Amino acid sequence: MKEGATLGRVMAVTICFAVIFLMVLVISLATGPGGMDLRGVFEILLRGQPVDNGESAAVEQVIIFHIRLPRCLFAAIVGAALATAGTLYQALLRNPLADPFILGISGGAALGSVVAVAAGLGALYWLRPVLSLAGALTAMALVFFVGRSGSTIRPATLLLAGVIVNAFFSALIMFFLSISTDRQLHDITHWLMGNLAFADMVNLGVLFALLAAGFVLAYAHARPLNLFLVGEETAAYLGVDVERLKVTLFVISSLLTALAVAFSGIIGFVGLIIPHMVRMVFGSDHRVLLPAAFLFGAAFLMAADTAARSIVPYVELPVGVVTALCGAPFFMYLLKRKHY
Amino acid sequence: MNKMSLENIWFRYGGGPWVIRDLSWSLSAGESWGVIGPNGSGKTTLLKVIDGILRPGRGDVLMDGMSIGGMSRRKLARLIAVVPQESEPVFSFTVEEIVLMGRAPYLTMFTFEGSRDRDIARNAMERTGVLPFARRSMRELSGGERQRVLIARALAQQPKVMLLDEPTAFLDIKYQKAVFDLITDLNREEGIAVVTVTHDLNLAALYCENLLLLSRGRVHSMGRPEEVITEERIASVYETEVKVDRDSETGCPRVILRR
Repeated sequence: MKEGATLGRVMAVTICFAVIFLMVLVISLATGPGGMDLRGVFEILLRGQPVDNGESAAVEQVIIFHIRLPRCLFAAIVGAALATAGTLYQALLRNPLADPFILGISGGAALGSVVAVAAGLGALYWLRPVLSLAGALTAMALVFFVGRSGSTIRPATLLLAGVIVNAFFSALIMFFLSISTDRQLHDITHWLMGNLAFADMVNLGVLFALLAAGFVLAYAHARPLNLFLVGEETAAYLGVDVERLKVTLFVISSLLTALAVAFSGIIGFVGLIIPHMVRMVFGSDHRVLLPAAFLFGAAFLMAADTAARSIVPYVELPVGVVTALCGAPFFMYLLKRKHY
Repeated sequence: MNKMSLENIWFRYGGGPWVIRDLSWSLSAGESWGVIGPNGSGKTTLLKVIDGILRPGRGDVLMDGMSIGGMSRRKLARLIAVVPQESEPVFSFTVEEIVLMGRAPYLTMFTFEGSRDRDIARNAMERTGVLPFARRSMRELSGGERQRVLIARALAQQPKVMLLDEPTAFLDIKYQKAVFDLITDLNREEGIAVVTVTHDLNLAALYCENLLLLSRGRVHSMGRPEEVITEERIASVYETEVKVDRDSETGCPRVILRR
């Protein structure tokens, strides 16, 4: 299975994961209170959006198109962004334990969100993601400038800068938590655990366009990324402008993370385990790995979110709980395996 | 490439002391050089300056009269291939994937290795004897096998010059000989100029046509092995008493340590 990439192989793997994605999508659309069978879902999807022609549209149609589909697609976008960012971070930091939150971007986003709630501005629903995004970008800039040594980026220094920035933001978050009311505390905790309930408020089209742009840019660097994974000097010997590659990767992966975290909170494990799972089966070639991780991340988070809202009737679990519950045991297993 | 020349190169890391001082040297197409000298004499640094990874503080490296400072890394990677000291990748790649990476300087964004690239990689693997392991992971190989894979990758770059940094450092005598035989074959049969940094004076004397002896970042002496490897020169550069005699069959100088 682990052979080098050819166009044919990339296409085959991508199509295979696209099929998995579509299957998960249809199952997710059919799952929920007042469940539907798969055939019904297909029929509704084929019939298209309900048209406002005076008559009331079928209830199922409204549920599918106005409630479940946006939520599923939102989960897919966040999952794809996190998995792509995780893949890139693992290569950039040359560290298999790297995930999208390792460089403190999430800490910045969390602080932004906490500030929004603590300041009593939670009512302005759009303010929260905006402050969150601002926090993420601040963290990103901070890590970049602290983590740079002269004109070069050293992975170890960047990692350390990320840990420090994260610790600093955590302290601030703790401070705000200590002065907030019970209600705010509940609100904040729910967000920190990861939440996809904002789905109906975000513009999926804009999010997807940004995600797609980030992915295409990342994919343009897929082959140099393979060389980089072998070693920084090796990449340079083989014709890669290494410093430029590192900055590009850092910016793309951090922006993808910021985007995901600002709207959905901190959903753990997707960005860590999806790249590893795909790598275990298909090898380390990023030309195969990136599209596979993108689609598999999307399918995984969509499935996790569907589980989160349907395991316990009438209670919506934070999706972060589900991903961590699936992710942690798997990762322990992975760590016990010596080679892959 | 016909000639590569280093003209009055000075190099230092950051604001530290000069590691290479006023070094001038030239390499013509198809030559075979060994670079010797004590630890810290600037051998590895010199290789990185030649390949343009490190920019000299003063002086210039010229390829047929053109400064390499103005060339892109892609272009340089088609002219010069480096076989680094062994490094273990964090994630696993197969031998074939590693060797195909040698084709990177010839590919552009969003393109895949074509059948020509695969043929070249295959030939390189055949040439270095690693074809039987093509599908195996780099991690499963021994040090000597890995070293030959890295040489195959360098070969796939179809370079004019191959730079090798202590290619036999961790190998037993069987693989030491195998690697040097291979380097010599590539030099003679493919016409690739080779520059090998090594600590093994006897292997250098046996296999390299010319030697460059460095001492504290300067060229101490250069020339045929029998000119460079003499008791006085080795003793003064390495600060160690040695005896040098000749192999009775090959006439090649031989360095002998005494207690």
